[in-house]
Parts: sequence; C-alpha cells; structure tokens
Amino acid sequence: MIRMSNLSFAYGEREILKDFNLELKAGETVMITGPNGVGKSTILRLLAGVLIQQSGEIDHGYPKGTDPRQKTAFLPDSLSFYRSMTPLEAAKFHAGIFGTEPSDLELAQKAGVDLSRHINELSVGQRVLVQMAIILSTDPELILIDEVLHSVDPYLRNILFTELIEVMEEKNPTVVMVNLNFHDIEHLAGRVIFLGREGIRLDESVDLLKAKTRRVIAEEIPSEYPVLLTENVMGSRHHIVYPFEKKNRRNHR
Amino acid sequence: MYSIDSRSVIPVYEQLKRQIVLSIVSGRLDEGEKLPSIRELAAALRINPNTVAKTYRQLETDGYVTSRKGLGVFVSAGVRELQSNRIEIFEELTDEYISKAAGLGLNADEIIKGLAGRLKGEIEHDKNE
Repeated sequence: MIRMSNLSFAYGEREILKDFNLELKAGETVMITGPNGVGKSTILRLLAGVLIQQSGEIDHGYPKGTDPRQKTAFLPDSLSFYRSMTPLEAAKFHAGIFGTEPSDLELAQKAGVDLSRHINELSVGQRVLVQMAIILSTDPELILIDEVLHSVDPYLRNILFTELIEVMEEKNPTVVMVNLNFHDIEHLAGRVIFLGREGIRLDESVDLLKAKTRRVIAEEIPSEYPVLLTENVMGSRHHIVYPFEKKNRRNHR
Repeated sequence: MYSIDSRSVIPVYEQLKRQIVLSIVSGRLDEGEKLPSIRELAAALRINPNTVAKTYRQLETDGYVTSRKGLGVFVSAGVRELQSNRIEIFEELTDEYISKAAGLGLNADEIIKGLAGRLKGEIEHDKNE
C-alpha cells in the first residue's frame, strides 16, 4: 500500500497540489486523467521521488531505510534520458546507479532498435522503448508511466504494452499511468481517477465507472446533471455524465 | 478468438468468461484442451492479467476448467454434457440480446416480433433447402 497524505506542492507561486490524499493498493493498475495543469504529472514525479513535496508525506510501505527510487520504474513525459550514450551504455550506467544487472535490452532489440547508435539519433518511439527496457529491468514494485505513448507508433506501442503486461503478470507491480489514450489502456487499468482543479472528482473501479457513466449528446444539458467533461465530437457536443443516477434517467429519454 | 466490447457495461472478466463458456459448450474448445496462458490472453486482448486470472478462477469454480499446477488451465471432462450449462448460456445470450435491442430503443413487443419473424424466416428457409 502506498499512502500519499496531505501533500502540497507549488512551483514558486503557482500552487499545483493542496492537501492531496491518495492510497494505492499494492498490485493495482490505476489511470489518472483530467485536464492540463491539475497536477497529474506532479503526482507521478512526487511518487517517483524526482520532486519533493513542500508539506505532507508519502509512505511507500517499504521497510525502513529503503530508497523508494530503487523500486520505481519511471517513464517521464520528457525524454531527456542519457541522450549522448548508446542504449547499451545507458543500460550499464542505469544499472550502476541502481546496483542491478544491466538490462539486456531485449525489448528494444525485438523492436529492431540499432543498439550501436546514440540515443538522440533514435526515433521518439525507439527512445521510449529503450527507456522502458532499462527501467523495467530493475525489477520495480512501482511503475509510473507519464503521457509519452502518444508519440509512439501503434506497432511499437503494441510491443511496449505486451512487455508491460508480461511484467504485470510476473511481478504484480503497482502501476500508475497518466493521461494515456483511454482506448489504449481502458482494460488494463482497474481503477480510474479523474483529477480536476478542486482535487479528485472521481475515483472508481473501471467496472463500476462504466455502469455509472453515460454519454449524453445534446447542445445544452440541464444543470442538475453532474457533467464530468464536455467534448466536441464531429460538430456535436458530448457530455460525459457521472454519476448518472436513476433520478436523472427519468428526466432524460 | 475472443474480443472485448468497450461500450458494453458488462465487466471485462464477465465478457471473457461468457465467451469462453460459449466456446466450451459449443464444442469449439474440446475437453482436455488447453486454454491460452494468462499472459498470452492478457497481451492479445490488452487487458489486465489480473482480469484474466479472475475469469479463469471463476471458470474453475463453476467447473468448466481445471488448472494443473505448472501446466496450465484445461477444459474439464464431461462439462459439455451438462444440460444446466446450456440453459445458463442460453439465458445469458437472451439477456444480452434483449439489452442490446433495448439499447436501440425497441420495446418488448418489437423485440418479440422481430425475433419471431426472424425465427419463422429461418424455419422456412430450412424447408426450402
């Protein structure tokens, strides 16, 4: 169990998180979504130990003296990862930091990445794959994936998800994914968290979420509907209503 | 082989369970035949391996499959003959049909008429053959 309690974080004057609380069960797969600028990536960075909160606490549930960073695989949204090295050099370097065996980069090899080239000469998709191969090799108990996969083509993305699923099956890590394309991961996540400016607006298992959510297509929607978000789909307005309750249903249809 | 309907409100483990049961009862999966590994099926459908594990556990509880340690999950012997399984599947198919038809805005009368007409058509079609 990972417990984030009363976390507050600000970039200078700009407050991103305030008194934020979240618990993650060991082995669950969680998707965090919501509009830009509400702190989704910040939550990942705090969990990864890349950023430190101004107040509050994160308890990763490890024995005392464990550095959570050693048990975390973090795929950030910007790929500034060991650019001037070849993938093999990067794997060695990373293993040195974490005190683990270097990744054999099988994942990247499978996808046809030329391992003798420098990382900054690879395509974005190939870079993501190299990075994924390296971070997964450290036997993580926590896997954090930020919004990077939209720049990866479907072929490489498929290889990536297959690898992730294998690791999930074998090691049962806790997985947190931010803002990925919902269709890519809707059956991968067991729990969805929707973050708004006021904090968590929705926290629900995927199974229940589907049962409780309706897409209403209408120009205007009565104000008593709890609209989670509104999007324009080919010229018409789609309102995602959650929770869609019986009393609403009577008014509709 | 199997597929998950994203728009369905039926949970993924349940969708998967129904499809596997259907392929067992209909004989597409033979007695003693091995089911795909959790990993293979999860990767192929891009679903959480825990979901597949849950499906397999339920199938085992219901007696459709037997898991053998280290070897995999196999279709149980004698499961096809159980009439109760057929009835259960038929009821589930019917429920699914009704909920999908209702989703199109059809009422009970229209659903029954549509189904009856279709069945009649099929019977006559059979006669002509």
